[in-house]
Amino acid sequence: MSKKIIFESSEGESFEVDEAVALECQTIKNMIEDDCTDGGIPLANVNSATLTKVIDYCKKHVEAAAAAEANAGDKDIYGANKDIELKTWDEEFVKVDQPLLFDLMLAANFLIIPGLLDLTCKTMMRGKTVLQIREIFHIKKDYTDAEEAEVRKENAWAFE
Amino acid sequence: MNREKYNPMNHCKIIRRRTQSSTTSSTYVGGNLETLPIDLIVEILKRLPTKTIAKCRCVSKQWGSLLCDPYFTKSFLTCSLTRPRLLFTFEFGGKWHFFSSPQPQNGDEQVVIADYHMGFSGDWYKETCILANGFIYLNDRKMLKEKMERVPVICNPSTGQQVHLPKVLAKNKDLRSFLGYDPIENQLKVLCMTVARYREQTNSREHQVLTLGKGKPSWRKIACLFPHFPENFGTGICINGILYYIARRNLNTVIACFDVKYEKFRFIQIDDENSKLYWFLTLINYKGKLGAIVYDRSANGQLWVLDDPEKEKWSKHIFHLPDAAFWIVRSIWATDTGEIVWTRSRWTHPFYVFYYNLERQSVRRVEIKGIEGKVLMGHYRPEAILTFTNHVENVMLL
Repeated sequence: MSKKIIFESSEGESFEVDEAVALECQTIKNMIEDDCTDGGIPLANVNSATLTKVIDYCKKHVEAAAAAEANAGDKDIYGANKDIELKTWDEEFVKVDQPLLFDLMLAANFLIIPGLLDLTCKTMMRGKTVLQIREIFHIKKDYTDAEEAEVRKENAWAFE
Repeated sequence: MNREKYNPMNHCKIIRRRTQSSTTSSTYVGGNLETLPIDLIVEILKRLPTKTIAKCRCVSKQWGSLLCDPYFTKSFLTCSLTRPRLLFTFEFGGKWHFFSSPQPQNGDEQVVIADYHMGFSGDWYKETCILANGFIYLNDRKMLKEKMERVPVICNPSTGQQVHLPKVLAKNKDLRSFLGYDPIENQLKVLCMTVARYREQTNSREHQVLTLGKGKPSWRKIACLFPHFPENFGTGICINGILYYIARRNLNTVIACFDVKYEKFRFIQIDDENSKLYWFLTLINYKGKLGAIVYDRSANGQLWVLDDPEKEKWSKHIFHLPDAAFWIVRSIWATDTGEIVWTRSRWTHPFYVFYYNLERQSVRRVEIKGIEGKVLMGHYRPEAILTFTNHVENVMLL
């Protein structure tokens, strides 16, 4: 039986995962290599809802990688189809509300999961207006109206 | 076990870095703890498409200056090197229009969607547009002192920036220009020379160089001990700081090699007895080596690969383009895996990019969507179509 790793969410809830799944997180991989994961890993800044999703993501990607390896012999169409299937799965995976998406992005950054970070960043910003971007990042507009009009003019091509 | 000691928070590397433009001592963008550290913002923004980056410049002053900071532009460049794109340029109605799409990675993608960037006013007269390190060099026409003059322009389809360069002062108006990139000094340079006819020979004279990004751009004269005549159809290719272009010397075809950093010329002779029977169509980057697409009178294609630049040793590979003759082909390049790729020189609907596998001698094609609806309206058809591969998105402002 494979080794298990225990995560503890900010609410104190425990999550048991296979070591292979935990290894998807670079931060955890470093800890496993340093042999300091006994007694569970407290993730004080990741809540249970986010952690559940993160584990789902890692599980899926470990399975997909294993399946791709098994099919490595006859690479062509099948390997590529798996790729497309995983892409579709990823797209479905990030169909969540904005706060959870933001938390997922923070968790991906903190746990160092490059694929998930890429996915959440792109999804979060896709098709957003300047106003929406300010809302997401809690940014107050510090341009005067005239300044904003000027900078928008310089970047007009992005708004076409 | 001491939990405090192994709290992953301690393992998490948080580099707090102040950007040059940051005026406050806070490392947080908005100055309150609900917002994110600058490094995380950079982490997020460097993954986004260039259009979103342009929008983000409008979000706040701090974001605006962060996105101009070399710390950000370098991170973005490193990230975009891992996701090279195809760049499509169409010239019509006095404008060059730019589109880009992801590079099709494997044989299963049959359709790729291209995004429209923008159009830059420019002309297609003898010289075309040239790409290096994400920047484009082209020629525009402008009224200067009541005279229509040709003005060189550097533009960037990733930022929309357009910089008019000073006019080239030369005795002759017949110019050839090339754009090169020196990765060591991270410098972009324009090489320009005049060509003049003298005793039945056409030769280059008045070689000048302009370095970009260092103060006010100006032309400097450099020496070239070997007058040569750069062919006017090629744009040259820059591989690892060496700019290569097809030229003629004493009626023989040569490959000119211009060292962008040291600004020195060298020539590779084509010592083939039958070299006059060959037509050098274009130069390509073949798995990091210089490659030349050559065809002979029987219209069979050959790929010449410069295996040893010092000994000037080429290896030659024959190939057949199954459904396309060379004269209807434009913009040939090679993929990292060694496929030969091209687009057609005339606009067709649907618009395809063709991939030729040298080993298997087979062709596949990928349809590029998203172009026709944007710019091709009514009876207008582009005068020139150029496609560039391995286009790196560079959001550095000049």
